[in-house]
Amino acid sequence: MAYKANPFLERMAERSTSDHEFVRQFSPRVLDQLPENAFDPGIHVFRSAPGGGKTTLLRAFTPSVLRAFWNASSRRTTDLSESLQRLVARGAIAEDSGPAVLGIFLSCSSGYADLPPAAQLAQEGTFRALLDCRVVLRTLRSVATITGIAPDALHQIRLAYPPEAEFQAIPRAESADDLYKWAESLEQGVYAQLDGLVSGTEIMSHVRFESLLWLQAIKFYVGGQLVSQRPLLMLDDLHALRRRQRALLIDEFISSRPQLLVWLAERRIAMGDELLSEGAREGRELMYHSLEEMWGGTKGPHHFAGFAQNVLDRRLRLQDVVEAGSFSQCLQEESSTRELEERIVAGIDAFRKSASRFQGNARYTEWLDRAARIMLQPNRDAVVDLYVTRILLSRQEGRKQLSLELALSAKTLEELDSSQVRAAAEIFLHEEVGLPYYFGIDRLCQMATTNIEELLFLSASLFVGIQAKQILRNPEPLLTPVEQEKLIKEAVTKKRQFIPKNHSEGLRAQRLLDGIAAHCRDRTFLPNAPYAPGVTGVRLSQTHMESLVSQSEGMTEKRGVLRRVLTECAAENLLVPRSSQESTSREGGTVFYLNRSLCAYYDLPLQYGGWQDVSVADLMEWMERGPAAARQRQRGLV
Amino acid sequence: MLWSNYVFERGLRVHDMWDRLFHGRTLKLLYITGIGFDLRSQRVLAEIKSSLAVEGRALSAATMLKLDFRPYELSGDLVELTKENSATMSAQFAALGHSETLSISEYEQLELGSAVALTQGIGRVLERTEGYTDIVLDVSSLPRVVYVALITGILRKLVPDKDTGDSRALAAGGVNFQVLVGEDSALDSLILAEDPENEVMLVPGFAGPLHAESAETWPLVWFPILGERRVNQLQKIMMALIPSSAEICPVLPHPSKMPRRADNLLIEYREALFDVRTIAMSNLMYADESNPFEVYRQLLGAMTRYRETMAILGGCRLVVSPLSSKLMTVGAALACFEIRPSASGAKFGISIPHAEPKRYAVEKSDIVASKPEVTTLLLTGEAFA
Repeated sequence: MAYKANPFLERMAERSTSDHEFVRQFSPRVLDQLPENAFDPGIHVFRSAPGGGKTTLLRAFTPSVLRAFWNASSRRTTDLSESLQRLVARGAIAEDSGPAVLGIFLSCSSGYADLPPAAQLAQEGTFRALLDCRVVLRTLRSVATITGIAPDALHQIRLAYPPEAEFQAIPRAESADDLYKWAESLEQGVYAQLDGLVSGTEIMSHVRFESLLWLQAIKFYVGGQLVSQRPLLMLDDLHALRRRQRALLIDEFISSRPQLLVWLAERRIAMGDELLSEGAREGRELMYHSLEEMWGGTKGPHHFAGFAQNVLDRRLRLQDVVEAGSFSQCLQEESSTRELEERIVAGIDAFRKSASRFQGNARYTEWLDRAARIMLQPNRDAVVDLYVTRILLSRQEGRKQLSLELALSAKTLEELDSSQVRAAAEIFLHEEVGLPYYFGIDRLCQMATTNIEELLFLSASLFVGIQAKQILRNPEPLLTPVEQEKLIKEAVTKKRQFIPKNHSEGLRAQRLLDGIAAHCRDRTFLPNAPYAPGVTGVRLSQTHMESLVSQSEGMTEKRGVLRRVLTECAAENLLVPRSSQESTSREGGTVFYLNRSLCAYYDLPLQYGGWQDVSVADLMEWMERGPAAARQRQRGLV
Repeated sequence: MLWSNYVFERGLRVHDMWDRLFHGRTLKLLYITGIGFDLRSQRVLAEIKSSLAVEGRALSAATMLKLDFRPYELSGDLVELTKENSATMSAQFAALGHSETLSISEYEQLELGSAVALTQGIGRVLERTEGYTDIVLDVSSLPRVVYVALITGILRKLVPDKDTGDSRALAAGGVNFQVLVGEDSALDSLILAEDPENEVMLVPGFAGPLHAESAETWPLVWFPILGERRVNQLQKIMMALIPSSAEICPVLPHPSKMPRRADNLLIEYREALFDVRTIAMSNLMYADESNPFEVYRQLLGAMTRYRETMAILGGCRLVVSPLSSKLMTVGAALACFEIRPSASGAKFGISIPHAEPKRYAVEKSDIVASKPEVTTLLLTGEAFA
């Protein structure tokens, strides 16, 4: 059973894969999206939902990975040269001399939150001591890696300090070997006490985060040569710290005004209520970078699609069952008319049935004649045209009281036919006659909701289908739209079922999402498609948001639970919060869009833009009672 | 191997063992149990009580320590059942001695995290074990992470000189420590454990190797002990802590009452484990689901071999994730206790990561209908002197 069957299943590429594999999988296009100031000295905080790519980004700057990219330049590997060029452009690698950055990469999920609650000062001191010794250990290992020294030959690295540098806790050792042993024994001592389950013993304590000052001051020499790489301290998983520890670390880092480059990375969950209140986003000392926002803007989705396809292609090359140059080659973009024949006929029948009430009405004669001509050549485009006509008929019907009863020309229909109406027609056809909607590389990228982990999750399912076709010696190992949609639906059903198993407020989150989706569906599938292509989010006005976020005494327990559930949904990418600007007729607020792959589960369109105002009470009701409550609301029972 | 000779009885034979153990001496009994919805704890208590109530038994003191946890999310039925269970157990024990409740979740209110709360709680339980001749731990209604921490913690206190390798170390100054399990693997597999904590918790006393920066470069060997409906917990642990370079040795329950159980588990974990990681067929380990000492023996043997083989690479990290039945988990806890290095500076370490669920779901009727078989493992005391 020694096999790796599906290269898309290994989702935490950043932590679990080897450096060699990571280098092959890393898509350098994410580097293009990094803001220019991300390499300026100071403290930068990268945020995203889980699977957003923070750790992947940080890992790309570790010594072993940079060396691997650099080594690849001599082999002229096409795959890796793309990465190399971008790393050179970002100053992480010097074209002539190799890595220019000394990446020191540590995770904050390594037990800091499990430190015992002693007296406040001592507790913080142990946290500082543990972080200090780990920064020292990792720095020395990074220097060894970047200079090609074996881990057991650290004595070859000499350490030098400027005379004015004063350390209270870290010894001014001259040999890296001695300093390594000091840090190692300090860490072992801390864990011997913690694992001993003995209370009352004094654990090592530092009064400041000295490793930051140490890193700024120290110079490394190997064979008399100065190690010239610029240090880049990267602390990942800041959200794993206790709230107080995280605040302490950030405060002390800021007050030490580091001259070196510090990257901190955390999940959005660390923002807590800030996530809902859109709290302080920027500061002079702290620069925040949201990975999701990097893919925002007008060109963002286009850039994400390019990046996503690059990631998929790299994964595809890790296996040898399916012979294809790119992942998109395996996904058929158009169905054959024969495959869809029954559904097309059903769509035409449905159109006939709904249009029958307009027969004999002179106002719509030209539109219906046009529809009759379209029906003569039944195919996918034709049935979409018919549904566009049906939506426009329904809209006109609603307006008839206000307009003159003039006959509508075919030209008017063409003018009213917008891309939104066409998109609404597609989702209506999917809903009513099962015409495939969730297929093709573009929609796959949309469903990923700018999250690579989601992209790989969906692609893993598609790959199983492609692999099966290949194994069965199918002459054309391409997935048809129908097959793609079937696999996507299976995957998203699993995703929705696993919400209670994977999230700490999972069951409530699932009910809330079901409720929101039921409400969105009710508004999306109105015959005149008033919010074309559809509603995929709900909006809380600023007043409602304030009532939810404020910590007033009158806050009910239920409201507190909703805040927690919404925060978790936003942090875990189940809901995508976007601010909505105020206008003359309404106040500002926050729209909570459904995750795009969940839209596939709920048979909703994938475009952003359609939302409906709801109240905190609605959301609380849905959270407790799910879609039944949403349906009752629609019927005016609540 | 400390428990190369072991005392393990089930069903009616449990009473024979207790008769011999309790006969002719004056007992000071500490009975540790959990406040939970699982009625198996009542059955277990009733069995041992009936044995202690036999004429001629001398009981100078008896305390029941009921461990209370942070509120798990339970259905209304299960909340009621938890209250009833707690009250019934106190009433049952009243004939023997007094009951006390000890809260494990106190520290969580200070936002210190469940791992800290658990460490503190276990520490307080260990402080309470002083001065008793008999310590009985009923794991029937205790969460897995708690009873693993308690078994290993109590053993570390009672058997400080385990590294001598001599099973006489288990005499533990005459303190008889036994673990009781109301075993019903069918009910275990019906209990849904959902909404796992976002953080993966390491069992107190077994945190170092997975956290230590100085052990980062040591190779890692992972022993997931597979059980039904725990795929999400396995995934949480794997994603957070297990690198792709790890050597993975899944442990399967075989022999089992249901001969196809191991096969079904392979299917259940196919996508989450076997499709994702490279696992050699020869790495699969099998252990009798009904005998915890078989799990202990298999696991300890494998861990010892890996430790010795990997010494040449500078050291190794051993990681055990018990996701199976209570008996198998107890066996795994014994192996972890025995192999854990006693002093700092050892070139290997062992960790037990766990993704604690926040919500349990099971039909009340299934719990009420359960007919558990009482089993006991006598781990220390006069039997080993």
